[in-house]
Amino acid sequence: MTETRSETGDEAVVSDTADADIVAQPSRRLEIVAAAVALVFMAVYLVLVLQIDLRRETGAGQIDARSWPTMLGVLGVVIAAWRLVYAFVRPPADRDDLERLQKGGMRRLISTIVLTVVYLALWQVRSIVAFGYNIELFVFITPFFLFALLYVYGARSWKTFVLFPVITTAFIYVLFGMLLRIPL
Amino acid sequence: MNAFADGIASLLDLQVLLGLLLGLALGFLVGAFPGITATMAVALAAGFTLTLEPVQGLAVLLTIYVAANFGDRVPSILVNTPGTPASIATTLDGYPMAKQGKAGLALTVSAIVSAIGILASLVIFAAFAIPIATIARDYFKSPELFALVIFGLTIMISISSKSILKGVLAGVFGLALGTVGVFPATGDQRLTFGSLDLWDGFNFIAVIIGLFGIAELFDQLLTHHASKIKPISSLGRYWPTRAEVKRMGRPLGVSGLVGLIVGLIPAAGGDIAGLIGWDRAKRISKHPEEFGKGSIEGITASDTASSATLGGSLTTTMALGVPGDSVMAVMIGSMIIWGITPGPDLFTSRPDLVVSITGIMLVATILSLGLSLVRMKGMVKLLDVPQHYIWSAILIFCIIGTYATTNSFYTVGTMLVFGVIGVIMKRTGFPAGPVVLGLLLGPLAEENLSRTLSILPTKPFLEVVSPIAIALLALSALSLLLPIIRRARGPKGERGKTLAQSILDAEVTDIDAAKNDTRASASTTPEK
Repeated sequence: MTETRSETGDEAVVSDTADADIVAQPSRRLEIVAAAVALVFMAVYLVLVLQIDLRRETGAGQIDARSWPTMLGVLGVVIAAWRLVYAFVRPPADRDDLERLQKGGMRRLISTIVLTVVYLALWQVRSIVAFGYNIELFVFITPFFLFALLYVYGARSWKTFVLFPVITTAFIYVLFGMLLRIPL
Repeated sequence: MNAFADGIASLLDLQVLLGLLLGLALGFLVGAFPGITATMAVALAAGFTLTLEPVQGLAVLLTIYVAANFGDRVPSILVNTPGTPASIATTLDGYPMAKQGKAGLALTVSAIVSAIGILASLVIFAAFAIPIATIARDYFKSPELFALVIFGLTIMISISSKSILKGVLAGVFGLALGTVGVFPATGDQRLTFGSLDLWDGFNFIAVIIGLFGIAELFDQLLTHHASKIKPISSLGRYWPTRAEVKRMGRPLGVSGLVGLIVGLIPAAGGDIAGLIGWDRAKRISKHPEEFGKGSIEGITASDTASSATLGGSLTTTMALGVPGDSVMAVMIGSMIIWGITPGPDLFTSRPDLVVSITGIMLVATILSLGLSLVRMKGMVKLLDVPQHYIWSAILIFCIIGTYATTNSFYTVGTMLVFGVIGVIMKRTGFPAGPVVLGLLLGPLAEENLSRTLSILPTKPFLEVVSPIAIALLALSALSLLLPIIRRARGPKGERGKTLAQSILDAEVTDIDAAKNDTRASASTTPEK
């Protein structure tokens, strides 16, 4: 047993090689759902490509805008259907190259996606006029975005909450906004 | 001026030097942080380098590629966790050496043999890139180019996929993504749904940052758990004795050869080469029993082989336009945006680029070796950087880097969507590599298939489709069927492995034994 590095400010003690605890388990249900989603996606793709409007007919032996996507769609549907049958009749594949989902993992992921969408929505506003000034939102919302991410990821030190977002935002603003002239 | 002088002259630029230094710092950092792969870093950096001149941009991207190959050995040796997949085999003897108080020696040997491996592979690149490109240009017409794309795609599928069906589906998904946009031959719109943003298809940089950067981050968010092992901070001596240097010679030669050969196979990278090289060196060693227990021969073999793939990988990428590994797939995407299309015509029309690329790789290797030999103590501290800083930094730089490519929020949205798709694919066992390759090479495949089909009615079949094209298509079929047949004939428990794993059966057995030994010693040896 070894004392671990602190990732979120907490010290933790875990065994040295607890592979069985961290490796993802095979799942037939997951295999079936994945194959079914792939089949639906490829079927929808095939239907859509068959509806592509052609502006003119092509000559003999030539392929038009529909031909290649149709070939791909048919191939995709066949392979996905084959995969779906496999998922039902064969044992689920090992997932020993993947780690198991951890407690709090889904919360971290969903929070990250929601925060990012909100951040992008606010950033799209670009600037607001207040107190007679045109204020660029990027420099104000980015530190808050980073602060929120750090909180979700388990940081609890006020030094971290203040210094990292401010320094990172300043770095990005100088590099992209001033040097590379990207309109932030 | 001749090509050599042109190539060298383009390197004598302050911005190229700055690019090298930036790439060096980034490459070392991403290599040293487990979970951040070189592919992810190059994808991310592609967003920053689009505004640069091609040679300046290549200086950043190629140096990341090289430096990550040095940086990733540090966590492999000190925490038994590969910094990138290419250093998987380094853990086999690197970590046991570190536990024996020889971490400094392992780091030094690893850095030196990695440099030797890369430099040897550069000779291959410098010597063969133009001849291969010339042969390809003279003999590869539309049917052969179509067959080459299919060959590259099927090799990528067979190597990266545990399930061939999933790999093929991923490849078809990538090819399907490549059909979105305006069909260049007729101007017809395909799956654009009236959106101007989709006229040019999906933004390649956004897709690769999503699939390789954001998806990897999301997976870490889902699966992160407290680190298992405390980094070993007692480094011990750095330099090998004369007797140890003598022992390094044979594994260096054998595994170097393995790396050079594996590097030339499209889509096969340092991870596979490292494992094969380690096993081959064990077989010819006078002390095979020491392998997996802290053998200096073992670490020499694994790191020479994995590093020696770089030049071969670069050769197939630049000369044939088929990515040598996933980093090179990203590199091709960036080069296309710069207006340079890797493939048979590139080096015959711009031979100076061979000199520039070789020069960049050479300088990057020397700088990386130098940095590897002086930064040992500091790198240990890097391993203690809390995860919340790394995750936050990756996310914000992925967002800004993607936004910088088009100044459009639509592109950032694309990246985010492909991040979600990527993590779902990863969790369900669908490889991302074939998707990227399909998206990248799909239009090329369609264009060449179209040309071939339009010529076919006018000439005899064998006059249009040469033996080269037939051989490449046959190899493509074999690369997909062989693993299926091997799995069907093998024991039940052996099913569900990649082609690399099925080829590496013996190696995997040996490596599992070595891992078990390491675990056994880890549980009995007190931490330093």
